[in-house]
Amino acid sequence: MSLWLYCHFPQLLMDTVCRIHPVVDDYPLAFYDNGQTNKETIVQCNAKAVAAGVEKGQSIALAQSLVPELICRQYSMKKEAQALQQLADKLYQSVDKQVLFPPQGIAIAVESLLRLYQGMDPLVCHLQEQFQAFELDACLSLAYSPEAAQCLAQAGVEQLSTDRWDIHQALADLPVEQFGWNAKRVEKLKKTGIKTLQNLIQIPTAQIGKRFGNELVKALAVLRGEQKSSVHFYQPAERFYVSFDLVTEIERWQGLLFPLKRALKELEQFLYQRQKAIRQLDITLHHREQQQTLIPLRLASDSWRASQFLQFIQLQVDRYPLKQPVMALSLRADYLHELDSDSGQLLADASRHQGDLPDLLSRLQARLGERAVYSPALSSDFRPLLNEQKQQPGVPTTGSERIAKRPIWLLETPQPIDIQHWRLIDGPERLHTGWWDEDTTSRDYWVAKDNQQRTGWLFYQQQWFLQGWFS
Amino acid sequence: MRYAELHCLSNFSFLRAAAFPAELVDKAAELGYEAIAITDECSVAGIVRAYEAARNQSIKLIVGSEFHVAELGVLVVICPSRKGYAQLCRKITEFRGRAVKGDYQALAEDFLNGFEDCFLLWLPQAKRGGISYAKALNFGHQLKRYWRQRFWLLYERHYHHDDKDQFRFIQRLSQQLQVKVVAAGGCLLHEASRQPLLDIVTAIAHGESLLAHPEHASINGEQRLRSLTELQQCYPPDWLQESVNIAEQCHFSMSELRYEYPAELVPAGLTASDYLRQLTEAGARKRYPAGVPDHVVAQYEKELQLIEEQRYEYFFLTIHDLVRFAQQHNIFYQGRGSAANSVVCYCLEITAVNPAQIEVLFERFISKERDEPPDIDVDFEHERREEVIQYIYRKYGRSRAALAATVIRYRFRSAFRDVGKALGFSEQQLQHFRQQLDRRDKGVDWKQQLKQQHPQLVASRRGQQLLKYTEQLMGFPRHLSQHVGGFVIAAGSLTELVPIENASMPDRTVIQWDKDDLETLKLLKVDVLALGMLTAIRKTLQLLEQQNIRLSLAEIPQEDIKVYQTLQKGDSVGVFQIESRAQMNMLPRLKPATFYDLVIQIAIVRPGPIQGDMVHPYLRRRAGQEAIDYPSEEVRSVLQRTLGVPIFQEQAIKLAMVAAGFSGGQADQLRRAMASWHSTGKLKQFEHKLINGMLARGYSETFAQRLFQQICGFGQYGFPESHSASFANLAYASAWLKIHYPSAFYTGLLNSLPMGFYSPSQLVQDAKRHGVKFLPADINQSHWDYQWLAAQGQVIRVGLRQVAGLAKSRTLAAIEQRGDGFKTIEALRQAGLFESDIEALAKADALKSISGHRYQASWDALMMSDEQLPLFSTVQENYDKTPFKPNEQEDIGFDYASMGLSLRRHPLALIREHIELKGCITADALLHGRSGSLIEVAGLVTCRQRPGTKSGVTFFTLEDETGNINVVVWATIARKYRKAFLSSRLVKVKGVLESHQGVVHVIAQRLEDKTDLLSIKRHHERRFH
Repeated sequence: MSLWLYCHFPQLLMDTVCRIHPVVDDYPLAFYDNGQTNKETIVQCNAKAVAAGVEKGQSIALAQSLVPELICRQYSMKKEAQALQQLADKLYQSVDKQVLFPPQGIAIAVESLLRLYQGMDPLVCHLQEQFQAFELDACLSLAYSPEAAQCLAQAGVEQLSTDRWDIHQALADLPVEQFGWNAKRVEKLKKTGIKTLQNLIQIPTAQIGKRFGNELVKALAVLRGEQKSSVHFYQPAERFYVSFDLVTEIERWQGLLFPLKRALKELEQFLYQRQKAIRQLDITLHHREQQQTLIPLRLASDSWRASQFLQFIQLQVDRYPLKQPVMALSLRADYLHELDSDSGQLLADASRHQGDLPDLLSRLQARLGERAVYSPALSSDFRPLLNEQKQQPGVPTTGSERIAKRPIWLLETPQPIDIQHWRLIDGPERLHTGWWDEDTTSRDYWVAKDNQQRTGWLFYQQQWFLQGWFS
Repeated sequence: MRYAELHCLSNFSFLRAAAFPAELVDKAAELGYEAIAITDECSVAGIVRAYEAARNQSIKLIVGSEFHVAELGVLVVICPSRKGYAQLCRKITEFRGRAVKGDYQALAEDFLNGFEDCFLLWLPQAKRGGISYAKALNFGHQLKRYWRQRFWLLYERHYHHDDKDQFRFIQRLSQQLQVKVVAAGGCLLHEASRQPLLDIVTAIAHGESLLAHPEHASINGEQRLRSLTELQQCYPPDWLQESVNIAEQCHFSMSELRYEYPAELVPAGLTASDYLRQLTEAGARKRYPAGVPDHVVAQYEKELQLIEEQRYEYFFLTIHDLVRFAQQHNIFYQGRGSAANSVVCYCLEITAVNPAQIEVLFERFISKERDEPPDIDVDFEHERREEVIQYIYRKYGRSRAALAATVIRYRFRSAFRDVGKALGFSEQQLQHFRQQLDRRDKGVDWKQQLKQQHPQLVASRRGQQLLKYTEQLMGFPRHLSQHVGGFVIAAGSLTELVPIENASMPDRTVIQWDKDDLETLKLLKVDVLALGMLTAIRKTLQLLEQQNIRLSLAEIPQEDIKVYQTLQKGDSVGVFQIESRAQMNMLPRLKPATFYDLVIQIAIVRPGPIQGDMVHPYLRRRAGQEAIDYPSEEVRSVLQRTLGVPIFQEQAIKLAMVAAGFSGGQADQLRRAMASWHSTGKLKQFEHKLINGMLARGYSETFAQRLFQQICGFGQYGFPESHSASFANLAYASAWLKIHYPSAFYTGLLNSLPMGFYSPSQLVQDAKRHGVKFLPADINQSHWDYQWLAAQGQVIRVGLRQVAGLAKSRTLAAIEQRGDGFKTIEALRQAGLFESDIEALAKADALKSISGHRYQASWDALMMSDEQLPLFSTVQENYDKTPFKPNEQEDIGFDYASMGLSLRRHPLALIREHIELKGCITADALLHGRSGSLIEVAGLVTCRQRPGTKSGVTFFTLEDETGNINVVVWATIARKYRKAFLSSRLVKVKGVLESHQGVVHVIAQRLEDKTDLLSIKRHHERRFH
């Protein structure tokens, strides 16, 4: 019979966030989820929150009443599963036979490892060290099937004995709620007085089948290790992706560097384990309202070192001013190359892409400064100065048709003009808007032609001004 | 220069405009307009408010409506005459009827017929980049052919960049169609200061933030009512003049609307008046079989005369018709409201309140002086009200009867959330800000609270905007909903009077006006309401009838001393209206000893009297601890029956008349201000007049101030005496039944749930304390309903209705086939019960007579029949008995899980001996405790209540095996023991016993969460291998 060690990480997402962002420890933080009942309940919380009385399963309203300053974030199973995969990648150096139970568990086939580590204790010790390095809270349990070990670990029972009887006892002690069965089955069992696995297995199998169905009989066999469940051992991904939420919104690049360093360190390890290198790395900054800033790093040569990536990023920081606070960060590298000797010169490499407009633009920007190169575009704001946006070059404009009659060429500052040289042809258009921010505009605008038949956009404010030119 | 605004939307075009109808009317009058048309989009929901405002102004109000048709642009229809108005209402009804609630659908061809008496103003290019000129011309010709001289083109200029294009477009169209152009404002605001709010409601309508989508903002504030000078700069003079020409042709006023009564109520050959007299006289003979006393005849003669003068006969006849239907179908009902407490209503059997008992109430019967429609609400049994509603629809048809609307308005919470989102705050941020606001203090000082709790928010620009515009948005109408039961019934088609639209409930339609609108127009509505206690009382009386105790509601013996003795002890669980915690605490203090005391008891435990500080003076005077004095004879006449303290809404109004010299009309305004939304603000305008009026009549400043405060209190939560009297009637009846026939009463009550204040478990415990014995639910003994086993005395068998997850229809069918009892589970299946039913019964321990204990029952129930089980069909071994047996705690747990109640011991009794509860006193022992002593109690938390009237205090109700314990938790203690305070289900309280006049409280000093104790036993027994 095979032996399985199940590692359960009850706070995986929380631990991951805290590791990447140590400042979090100073704030009570909790993740909530809607669950099946559509009621928002707390699913994970950090030590600070626990100390203040927050518990898993509490309603978000109760938790916030208990701790008014509690920061609540929506739990994401996807993100937790990503964290689990990163963990599996890391473990892969020393543990090859892993089965992932997303989002919070990894089952390890330990038989071969027991020989390698010469016993259970050294193995567990090694694993615990790994988890500690990741600052993860983990519960480990041993049983004859991944499912049985999972039940024990999830119930918080640290069963590490390899003794058959001990494993059996530990399982038998578990209440029937602990096996991940659906609520209906659990309810049926409890209605007949069956409260633990022990109660259940003292009943003849045939009787169980008659009353609770064949599915339960099968599930019991799997728990006992009598029936093998099909497992898929984990294979590390051949591309890198990491994403995580920042706990506080970050408004400056300086503040982003720390979590970025952590992430790059993970990238470095990932590449190192696989003996790979990359040239393209996409960094995405996530803002509120689903907007993103994409920072594509294009390296001239293969690289795998965190320090190198970081240096390169710091060179480009100016080009991507943070227009909005950053809520989350993700790194992605899709194309892994075999790590070998340097492949070509920077210039030679760059010349290959010369026909590429974005590349040309970004290089122009790097030379001239980021504000020097832009595509003119209209925004949906009515106000002239906000109306003109210096959009990223090449991005299609999104202006509203309601304000189509606007000059696309706006002067940096309005120029005083002599109205004698102008002929008003249309207007006024009255702009009185923008009350919600500092730039309240209140002017009447006119379309007019000058002596040279050029069409301009004028307004009067004690005297006449030219605001822009129509093309 | 003269001008009439013909295109103007109010905030009753939901989320499209930012001004109340009255604001538009007042502003237009101020600017010197000749007339203003309120043309809400496919609606006349705001027109009555505008009419009310216009009555006080010298401006003409024109009724109209705006429609959007994709291929035509905007069409504004206005009504020059009553006929035109009827056509508009019909069309709105038709358009609304095509769409779901809140929406409408109008097509181009709809404007080519059915509007014979209306005017059309057409704005062909309403949306920029709208229709092409060729199309406009084509449609224009079609419209011209139908509308002829009743057709104009609209030009509206808001200083947009394409004004010139639009001007040329209209000018050309006008020339080619030979149709005149009229200038209009297309107004959405009454003044420029509302522009931000307009932008906010637009963003709300799009569900987006203004910051992210500034295109939702208006480009300027020109869609307001503009001054004549501004208009002159904007439009050609002849186009402006045309607006006045049109307005002069409009003669329709809302005051022309007359309610015409359904004529079929009166037999041929009789006048309504004669018929009402016949019915009243016949009823009187029935009510007074020994001969109708002279004073009763005199009284109804007086009333009939008044009814005739005011022409309200049909109103009484309509209600009489409804209650007669209810009588015929044995549906219990009770009329209430000012007019219900008349001898006529008593004789027509609309109400059971014997007017002899409350003679004093007649003064507010029908006020001729105030000329307001009589007020009668009829409550029907809640389980059977639908029958009455269906009767109305059947009798009058859906075109003649519809429910009144209720205008749902922005309250603080909704306004704060929507404005916040429009200003770019996230849902979470808003939730965070809102979280700590004391929500009970509705709207009161929320700004102050926010300022204290979130200074950083208030300091920021956006935070200030959030506060400012939240306040502005509060009170804005959001949508129309259906009134709880106010029917409008018309003689002819109702749609000639007011448009009808779909409600969210299927097969329900509502008119576009609410009760205030109906009142303004003096249209009558009949309130058909639902009341659970009537169901309970009918069921109780039916049970008594089965025991040959025949009793009707009216025959219940009056002024039974036992009833008052019991109530004085605060023993009122299950009794109508006076069963709440607050009422129960008042009973031993007020010590009601007569019916009228009950009328006061019901009205006094309300936020109005509590906030107005009327409770304590009344109690002191009642106890003889304070002298009763009146500043004048007039005041004495009003306040004598309540010992000089105003308790009822009517008294406040009457005082304004006698003490401050308000005329009947002014008093009516005051009453309406008190009843209306946001009354505090509206009442302010009366402050000066009230106080000066009283000072002028020689009353003291203190008296005047106090009276004004009391009126403000009433404004929010006042209770009219007439309603209180009707409620007192049911309170008395239910108390009498409870005391004399407890088993019948509890059976009736338990069979009428859900209703009232208490859970089945609490009712059962209370019944047990009153000597009623309960037998458990059992498939071979129980019916669906609870049964009173009268032959065995005070014994009730729990009904299967209490079992969760059991289907009623299948259970009833199975009970039919039960014969001398089911012997096997299989027999239940054969009787048609599903597996889910059988499992539910097993869980509830209702299969005891078949299987024994509940584990065995479930075990048997789960045993599948052979055909379900091909795989195990060969199994021969016998395993019929389960090895597991429930212990008491498990049984109790399942009882609660399945039925919400248990007839076994109370959970507290089980853990009473636990070391952690040592020394805790039981609820019954508290009654004998010494006031001021330090004690400990423990119980299940059944109620956490934070009254809006007292800040910083929370009342806990704890339940133990002997009764309920009232715990008072002050804010400091709540904060200190926050977790126990907020989340414990079982709590241990250390505190000071306070006992006064039979009211016992524990003032908490320490709270401990002991919820874990509830599951302790189970933990012990988990290991048994």
